[in-house]
Amino acid sequence: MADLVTHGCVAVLWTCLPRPPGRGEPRVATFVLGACLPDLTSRVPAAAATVARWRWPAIPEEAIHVFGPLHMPVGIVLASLLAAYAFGEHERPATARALAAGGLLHLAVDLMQRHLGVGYLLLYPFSTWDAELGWIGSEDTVLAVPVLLPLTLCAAWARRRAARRAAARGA
Amino acid sequence: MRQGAGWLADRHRARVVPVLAVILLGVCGAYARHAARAPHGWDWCLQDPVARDGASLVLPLWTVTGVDGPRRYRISKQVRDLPVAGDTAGLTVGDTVSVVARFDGTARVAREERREVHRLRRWKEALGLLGVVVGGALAPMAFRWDRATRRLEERWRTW
Repeated sequence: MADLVTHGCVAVLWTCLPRPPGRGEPRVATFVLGACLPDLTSRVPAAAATVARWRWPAIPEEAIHVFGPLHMPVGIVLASLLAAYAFGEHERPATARALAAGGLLHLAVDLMQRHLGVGYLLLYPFSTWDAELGWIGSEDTVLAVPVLLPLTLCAAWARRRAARRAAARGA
Repeated sequence: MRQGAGWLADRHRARVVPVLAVILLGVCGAYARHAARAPHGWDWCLQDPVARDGASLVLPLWTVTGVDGPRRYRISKQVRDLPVAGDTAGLTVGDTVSVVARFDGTARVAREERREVHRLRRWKEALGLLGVVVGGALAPMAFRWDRATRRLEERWRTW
């Protein structure tokens, strides 16, 4: 997994990209939330369960792994559909799509990394085949943050200004 | 014009939510069982050390919890204080390592074959924590809980 700052920045940058006419505007907040959810729902509780198990060994090992599918495509899509029910009925399909798309972007960023011995299970529960592209080390995103963060802030500022100008012209 | 919510509409909620929840719980439970009880790993090796002598162990992102000399250290994650035979030069307690090893059934130790020390792991974890804090602080700007409809509303919808 890359860190949450990197995932958040990549998601914001994605929403700033120019889109073909007629595609509509991206759902910014839900897309960025979707890009952060795989780590928040799987890695954070797994880390907490690991530390708890050191202290209380009676906790079964399954408690560490049970959140794993929330970092896989099947879990991301199911969790996005369930989370969309927190929103109003008419917002739900677009919200579910934005959450799932953000989560899949998260996976795409993680797939660029290389780890010793194991990759990401993309087809679970249909297959235990694991994959990763291995383009960057698993901590290299830390080195990218000093560039990525200001770039994201600049892109967001420029995108917002362009959107306001377009709205003013339309008014 | 707003499109209909289809099978995500409120009228289908009582059927769709339980079905989705059961599928998700089933996948999570099956994965937990697969990961914890599959025929690999330290506990599996210890169940029959003689027969499993030489079995491959892949231990990604474990924490060094003890250095017991120049050729032996302990790591923890799913198992606490798993003993590893390997060069400890430059290793300190708290480091995060990924290890590929062979199980030694006689000495009951993992004999290291390959190791990667994740020197920037703490920075990565700190950035993860920073992301949670910043995200939590920005959440009220991005979303709002409508008490009347008992629904979340997206405040920051578009640029």
